[in-house]
Amino acid sequence: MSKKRSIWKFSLLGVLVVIGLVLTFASFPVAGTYFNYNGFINSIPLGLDLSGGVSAVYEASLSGTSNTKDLNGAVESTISRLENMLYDEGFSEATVVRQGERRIRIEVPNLTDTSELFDIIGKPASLYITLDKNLNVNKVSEYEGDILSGANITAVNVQYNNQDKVYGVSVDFDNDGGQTFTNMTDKAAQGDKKIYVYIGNDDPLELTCESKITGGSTFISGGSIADYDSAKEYATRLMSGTFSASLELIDNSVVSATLGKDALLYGLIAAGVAIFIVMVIMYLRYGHFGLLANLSLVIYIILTVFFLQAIPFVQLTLPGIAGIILSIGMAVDGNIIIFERIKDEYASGKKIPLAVKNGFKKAFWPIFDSNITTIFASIILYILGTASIKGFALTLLIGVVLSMFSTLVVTRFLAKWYLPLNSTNAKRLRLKRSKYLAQEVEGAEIVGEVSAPEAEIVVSEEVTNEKV
Amino acid sequence: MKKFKKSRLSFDEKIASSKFDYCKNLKWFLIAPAVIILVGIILLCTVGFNLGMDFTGGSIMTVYSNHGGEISDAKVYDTSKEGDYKEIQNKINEVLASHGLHASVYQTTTMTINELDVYDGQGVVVKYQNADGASSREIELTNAEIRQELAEAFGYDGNVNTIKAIASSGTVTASASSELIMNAFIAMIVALALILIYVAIRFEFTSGLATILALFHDLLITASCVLIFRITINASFIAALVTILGYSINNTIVIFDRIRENDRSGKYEKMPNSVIANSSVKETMTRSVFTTLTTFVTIGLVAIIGVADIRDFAIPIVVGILAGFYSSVFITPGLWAIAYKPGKRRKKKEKSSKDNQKAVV
Repeated sequence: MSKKRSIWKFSLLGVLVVIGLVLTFASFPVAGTYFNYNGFINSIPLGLDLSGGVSAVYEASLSGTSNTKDLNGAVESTISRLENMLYDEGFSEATVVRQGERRIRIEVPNLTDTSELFDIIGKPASLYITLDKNLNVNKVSEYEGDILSGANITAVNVQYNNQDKVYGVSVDFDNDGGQTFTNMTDKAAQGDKKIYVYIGNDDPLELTCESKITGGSTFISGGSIADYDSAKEYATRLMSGTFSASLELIDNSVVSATLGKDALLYGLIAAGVAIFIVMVIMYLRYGHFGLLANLSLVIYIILTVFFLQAIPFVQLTLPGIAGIILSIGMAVDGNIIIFERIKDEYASGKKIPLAVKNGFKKAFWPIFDSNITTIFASIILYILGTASIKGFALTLLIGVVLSMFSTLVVTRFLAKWYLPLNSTNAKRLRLKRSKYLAQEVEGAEIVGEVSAPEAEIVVSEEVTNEKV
Repeated sequence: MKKFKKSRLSFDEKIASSKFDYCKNLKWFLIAPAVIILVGIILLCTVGFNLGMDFTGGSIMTVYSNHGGEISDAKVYDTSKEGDYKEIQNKINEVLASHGLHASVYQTTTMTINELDVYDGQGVVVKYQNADGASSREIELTNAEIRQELAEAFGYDGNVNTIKAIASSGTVTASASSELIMNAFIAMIVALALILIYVAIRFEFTSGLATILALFHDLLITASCVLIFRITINASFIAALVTILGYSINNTIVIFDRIRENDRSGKYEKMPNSVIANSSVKETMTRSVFTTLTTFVTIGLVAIIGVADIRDFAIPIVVGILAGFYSSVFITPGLWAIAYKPGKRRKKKEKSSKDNQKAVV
């Protein structure tokens, strides 16, 4: 590769990096339009600890029973339902706690308006499915025909039916529920083909049923369900009826970050200063290689910020920031492993291009092994962990995968492009010949004998020439 | 030819040329961690962790601060003003302190309270841990008193109108459920097992075992320091432990990689394990020091600059990273040197060379 081409490549990369930095950190109105561009870093969803959100308190009640034990169970199961629901919507950092005996407090980060909360969890209410057109929702316990309640529903999902090319809502029932639903559809199919869904005190939703449905699940489509959004809305309505207790909204509010206003600012300042110090250290120790590492670190940061805002289920919290700092540490770590290897190779007498080649070759496996173990840990944590731990695991995973990419791919290319520019000046790369650091000179003897620090270091003529 | 004096040797060269024996001194290196972990275990059995609100739950009060018209001389606060917000916090802190409690979290809020027909009311949410070992009845009583005192502090008639001054109050359960802790714990054990298997396959079983022991060391040291310095732990502590697990394994892997390389190179064919381990540690020392340093700088700065909550989270990570450096340099190579059975590889080599000879014949 010629010098000219290297310079071209570096300039092109430089321009791309500058564009990347602007897209990441700057926010500006786009000239001539009403569109405001918002930098990637401002689009990362933040957790409750950093950005605050919306909270709501509901009071749970069970119709037809005053048994505290039943209520207890119902409140607990409602809490876990709500948690799952919020998680499925991507709010991995939402918290749901019990307040007092029968109240449930929900805190959802990254929302600015309480009405958005209701779009997510619906307006929790009771849900019943019967064949009866005139069910009295308040006297359900006296109803004697076939009836399904929200508690019989195990899952509600939006699905796309490939055959009919329509969106719809799939509903899964538990064992009893499936049985009852089969009976019900059997009767309906022979009768007026109507099934009614009662949610809260609203007018019932009317479903048409053509035939007996077995298998414990069903697919609802057509009617008001026209596209993905309306299917989603329908699903949310059904889902909000599946809580064990019926919930009444007591209050809802917008709350500020739990860590205080300055936490995020201080965190960012700390990270910025730290990255700067690390870059200075890298330059002082590795010279031009340090600059290459810093460039690849900048690319790493741009990519990380981009993926954090692009991938769902990431809600950046304080632990998440630590995860990113860890992965920055690992990205730097990888570069250090590579450059130390190159140092060793050069010390034992190789010329720069060969030292670089061998350095990368020998550094590959230790970098791969140490990153892959961390990737294991984060995947396991993602699979087994609960909501907020899942979010952290995902942040960590993104960070580590990208840090591996930045060291094993980006730095490697940068070094490859750099060599045509300088393959003889060892000083600029902070490399020197040294008997102590040599790897391939009769190792056993070196360990045994190189103990006198006064020993002379022989520098070959060739090397002295290179330094000129 | 050039001559360098002793003082001209660089850091790397000093390390490489030092005679220090990392393996022989293993028993001395084990003393400090053993003492720290022992103290940690004793504290765990006696006073336990200093658990934060995520784990214990507590109580919550929302002080409705910009009410109007209720009592004519009551100050109307604007929580968006830093000064007002601080003043409210101070008032609440005073009330809590008189009951021996202190606030864990403050948040400002804009609320709609259906019961009171309040819309867009401004307020301050305070969350605090209940007194240790208090029964639910005692907690109820204390909270009732706090409610009344807060109402009076904010200009309401404490006997009549507490409900209007203090909205949405009561005890709250822990947000970090025992399920979350259990799952995280299981996840970490599974991850450790997988790491053991991976390292055992990529290197050999002895290295895998030493790696796992080192990770246990790092996590235990961190937990012990948290116990000793009475750092409050919240759900984020689990993330801190995972971060340590993910990072400190790096040093260990890099050293084992060098040990394997040296072992295979044949340079040390007739030497004891400790020679291989020692020179591997020395060869990778600069790298260990610099990577630890760069990460230490980053997370250390977060600990120094950050607010109190951040510090509670960052300090354990700092401890864990240092512990990770210590274990990978001073403990794992020594353990490996004791347990590794030399000659395995050499035998394989001999065997394969014999096979080759046969093939040639």
